[in-house]
Amino acid sequence: MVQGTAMERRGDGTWLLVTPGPLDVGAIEASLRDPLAGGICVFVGTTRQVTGSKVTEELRYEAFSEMALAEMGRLAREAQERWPVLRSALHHRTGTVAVEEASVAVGVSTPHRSEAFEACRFLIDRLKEVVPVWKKEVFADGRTEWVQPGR
Amino acid sequence: MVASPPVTVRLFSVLKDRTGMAVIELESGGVPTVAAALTVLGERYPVIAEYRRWIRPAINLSYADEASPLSPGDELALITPVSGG
Repeated sequence: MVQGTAMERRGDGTWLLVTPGPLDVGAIEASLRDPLAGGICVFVGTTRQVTGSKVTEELRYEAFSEMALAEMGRLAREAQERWPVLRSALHHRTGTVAVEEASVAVGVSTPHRSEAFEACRFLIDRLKEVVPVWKKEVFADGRTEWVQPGR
Repeated sequence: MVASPPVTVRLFSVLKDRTGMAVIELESGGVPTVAAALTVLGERYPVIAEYRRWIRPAINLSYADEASPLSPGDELALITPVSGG
């Protein structure tokens, strides 16, 4: 395991990870397979190069890893209460994430596809609201800026 | 008399950059609540006062609020608006 990684695999089929290493979407998809599942939904968030007139060189992520893991675990439990989630995974990368690379991946497996889409959407939307991770934009012109929604 | 363990304050992102501090220890007797801690910190580091209305405090890895009590040995994290994903 890459140094600086925080990981938790729970008995209820939840896999949580905060790591400076690259995210393994294939391993996430494999971890969500379940005999009772009729569908797997995985969302992968990647570094976008162009936002309006700004050109991004890379993103640098900082996490409060212990609390990020705890918050991701709470979100996984909330999803289990609202949808028939069989397995779930929430992974976030820290450090420098180049254009096109994945900074976040969340996924679920459920008996039917509609609940997989809904639960996955819930997990990524709430992750962006509550999980203590921050990104700094590094622009092509060398400027840097912390992204602070609502500030 | 044995001193109580301090309250450990953790800073991240913009607050860490602008204070130059990742960890600050406060004598727990002087900060019975999150609000009291934020006032003490804001006097020492103006950027914390500037950001106070946007800070979501967390105690021992769970979100709390300004009225939440602090006990000796607690870890208080100052969570500015998050931007993961």
